[in-house]
Amino acid sequence: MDSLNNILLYTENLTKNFQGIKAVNDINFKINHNEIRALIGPNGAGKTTFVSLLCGRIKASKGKVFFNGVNISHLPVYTRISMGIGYTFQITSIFFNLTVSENVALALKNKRQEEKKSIVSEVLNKVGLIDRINQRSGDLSYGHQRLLELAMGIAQRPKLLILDEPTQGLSDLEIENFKKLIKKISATVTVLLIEHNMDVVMSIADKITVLHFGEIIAEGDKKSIQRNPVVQKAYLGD
Amino acid sequence: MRKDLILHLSALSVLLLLELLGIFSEYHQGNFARILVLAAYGVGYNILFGYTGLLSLGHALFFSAGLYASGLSIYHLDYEIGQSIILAIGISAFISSLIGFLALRTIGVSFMIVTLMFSQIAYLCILYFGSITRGDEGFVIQQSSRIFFSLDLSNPTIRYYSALLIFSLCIFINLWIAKSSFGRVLVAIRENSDRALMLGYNVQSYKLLSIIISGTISGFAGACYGILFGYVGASFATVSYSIFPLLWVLIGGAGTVLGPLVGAIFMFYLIDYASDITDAYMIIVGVSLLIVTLFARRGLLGELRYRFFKWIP
Repeated sequence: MDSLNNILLYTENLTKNFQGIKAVNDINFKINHNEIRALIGPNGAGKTTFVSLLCGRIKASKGKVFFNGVNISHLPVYTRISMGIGYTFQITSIFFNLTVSENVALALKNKRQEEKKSIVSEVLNKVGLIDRINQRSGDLSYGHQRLLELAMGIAQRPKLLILDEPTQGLSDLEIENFKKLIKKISATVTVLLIEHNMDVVMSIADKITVLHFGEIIAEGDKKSIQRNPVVQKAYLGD
Repeated sequence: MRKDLILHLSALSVLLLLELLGIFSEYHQGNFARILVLAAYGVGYNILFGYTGLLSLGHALFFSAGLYASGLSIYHLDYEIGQSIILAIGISAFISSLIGFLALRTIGVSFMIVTLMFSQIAYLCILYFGSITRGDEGFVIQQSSRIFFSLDLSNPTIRYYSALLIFSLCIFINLWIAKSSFGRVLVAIRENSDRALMLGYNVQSYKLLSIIISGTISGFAGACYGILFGYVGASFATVSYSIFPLLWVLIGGAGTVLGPLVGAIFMFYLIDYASDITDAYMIIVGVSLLIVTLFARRGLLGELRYRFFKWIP
């Protein structure tokens, strides 16, 4: 059962219209503290639009978002981020002309220089990029750039970390390390994961939400989702 | 001492020694005094364009705001030099806040056009209120009004040292910004404003602050230009004076502290020497700019930084 105290974020009738097309349609969604939730669905299901509404990158046409019991629907992105929502982009979005450490340091607002240094080292150790700390991030391999993006998300120490297809372009070994890392950080951070790699979803998610045409068509544990005929139909067609 | 500090102190020392050792002829002394003040204007422009990534085509508005604020206050109200500069700084800061607030409602090409339009409005206002501004012909600030703490600023040597001091002040402000957390955020906004926003930075506020700092430095440079060279005219409010700092910054290296100086020296002497060779000197200037663009697309100092000295701020 989701007791109110245990809920970190929830939405009420969240809707986004793009010129008459409902990309997100009347969604009521809840996520608990320290949960790893996977958000899956076919391409165009509205996953990225939905999480963009949560963090305020785009404005909702209707509905509300509550975070830690506070209605954040009217708040700008930077305030939501400061309240503890972290977001990593689907397409690698780092500062290519800055070094790895400078990228991570930028995620640390209002911290002293010494504190920044220690957090940067700690986070880069976690994601396995400590050896590349002074390298220009534009010179990193694609997989490493994805890890740097994740490092920036972790460094913010968010309460909710939204990861938009984080394993895209990672090698098998990097994906294994990524899974371990997410498991580890979920002790203190709630993770909302958009992911197409079902192996990743099935191995780390506590619960799965399935979106299709902007609506939640199923929600539950891994087994119930795997067996759900509506989900199978959405993915495989008639 | 930090390498970047040594570099900038050395550059300033060279400029000081050129004068102290009497290496400059009177002609070059005058040129360099002008270049240094204009490079200070370029420093202001660079903060907005080079560091924050906002391309303005209306900076002549800020330069002329400072120029006219100080010039008119001396000409009509008999202000002292110090008072007129303080007034110019205040007015430039106010105007840049206002323009920034309005122009930042747009992005990209629209931002360029909006800033250009505001600048043109200012230019037309100068012409329209000719009874106060003396319109197109401008006005001269008398030598007797250009005395600052018993120093005659119309004296070429004092003028050169003053220009060097003004430029030094501006580059140390720029250096401080470049090394600060604030400067890092500006660069982050230039590189990827969407990412900076998602790291929790109020991107619009940072951009506005960048315009205010940039506009105020430009206005300060404008005020100093009028006082040091004794002339205030509408030509400084034309679109050319918005394009010049862009060229200096692009040629010297956008986002480098000394780039505007390198660019201003290059442009000034390129035109100077080319016009000695032929009346069609713009052909030489154009070809030279093409060569620089092709072989140093990050600007002269920017290319050096990219290839060899990554620590150059």
